Formats: sequence, C-alpha cells, structure tokens
Amino acid sequence: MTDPVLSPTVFKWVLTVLTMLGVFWVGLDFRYIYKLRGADMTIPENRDKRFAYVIGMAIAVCVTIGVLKYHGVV
Amino acid sequence: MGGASSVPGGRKVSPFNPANAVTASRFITLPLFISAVAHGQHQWATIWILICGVLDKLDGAVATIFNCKSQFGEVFDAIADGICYGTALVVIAYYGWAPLIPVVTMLGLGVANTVMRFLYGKRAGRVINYKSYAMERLVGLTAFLVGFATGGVAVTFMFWMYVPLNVIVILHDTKRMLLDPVPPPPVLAEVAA
Repeated sequence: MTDPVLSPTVFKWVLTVLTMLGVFWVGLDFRYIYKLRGADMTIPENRDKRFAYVIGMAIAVCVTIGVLKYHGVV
Repeated sequence: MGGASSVPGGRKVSPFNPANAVTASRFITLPLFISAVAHGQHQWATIWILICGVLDKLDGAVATIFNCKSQFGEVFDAIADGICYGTALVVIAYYGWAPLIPVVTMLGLGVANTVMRFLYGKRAGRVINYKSYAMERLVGLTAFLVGFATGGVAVTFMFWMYVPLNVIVILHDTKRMLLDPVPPPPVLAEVAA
C-alpha cells in the first residue's frame, strides 16, 4: 500500500465532501423534527426520536463549524 | 454466535445469515486500519475506516433485502460497532493522532453503555436491544471522528465537541434502560395492538 493515494488538496476536498454528505444526512433531522410536531409525546418512542433529532441537529451544526475551521474560515 | 433468534411474527432466523456476515466482515478492516496507522499512512487509514462505516450502513439494508432481521443481529451490530470503533479510537490515540482525554472519556462512556445494555437485557429477561436513535447518530459521528483524526480535520475541536453530546445521550439512555418500563416482546406487542 502506497500513501498518499491522492494529492493533499484532493484528499482535503474528498474529506470535506464526505463530511458534508454526513452532515446532510444528519441534517435531515431538521425535517424529521418538523414532521414530528403534533405527535403524541406520551409515547416514549416519540420522545426518544425528538431527543435524537435535536442531538442530530447539534451534530450537524458542530461538524459544519469543524469543517469551516479545517478550511480556515473560522 | 448464539442460537436462532425470533423476529416479529415468531419466525426463527439463523444467526448465520447474510446480514450478520456483512457485520462480521467489518472486522477484516480492523487489522488493515491498524497497519495503515502504524505505518503513518493517513489516506489508507481513512479508506479502511470509510469501508468499515459503509459496511455498517450496508448490513441493515442486507437484512431488509434477505428478510433476516433479528434481535441477535441488532445486538451483534452494536457489539461490532463497539469493537471496530473502540479499537480504532484506541489505535489513533496511541499513535497520537487524536487527543487522549476525549478518547478515554468516549471509551469509558462506551463501556458504561454496554454494561447498561446488559442490565437492560437482564431486566427484560431475553435478548433485547434498546434502540437508541440518539446513540445511532453518535456512533455514526464516531466513525467520522476516526476519519477526522486520520485526515487531520479540525481534530481537537471535533473530539472535544463530541464529549458533551456523548454525556447527554448516555444520561438519557441510562434513564430509559434502567428506570423506564421494559417494552413487551414483539409478538406479545403485536397481539396487544
């Protein structure tokens, strides 16, 4: 196995794209929590989902900040 | 692996099924990942942890396609997550690619979570997996964290921001597993519904 496989610049952008795909996937929680409004919150599973979507949104925000730091934006 | 486990509807599923094979195949990436880290090959280490993460996503799809979802499969998947990502975290911390304190905290909380899952199973009196939607997200993030460490993506920030999120989720899951009522078995739940 030889390393590096990609040039540092390409590798940096591959990582960024992969990370932002992950952020997009977790960011869908913004949509899910909107769809969950009005659901019966006495059901434990609904409460678990709402909690998880909030955590997902927090992850999406934090990782986006991390990627911006990686690129020296913040 | 243990004996056959049941799925909703009472059907028995062998533990030797395609989904569990995909889950088990994740262990192949571990020595390759460790070798890459030991040789300072950042990009190969990233590729192996990426393959491990893709296989993690794939086993659920395979279980759906081959209709072989089982309680055992869910528990085996959680164990594979713990072994693969836990080992990866230890390795990157050992080689100085990730900050030590967050990694030790994450591993400690991971062990606590495993113990609670065992106690939850004891409370239920059967093979049962507490489905933590929040922990699923954190496990996904753990795979990314290992990738961030191998790729050098804002490593200190990413690892330290994980710790409070992990603590919050563990506290939530502790309450759900140890204090809240255990749901009935799937077949009984269907009859009750």
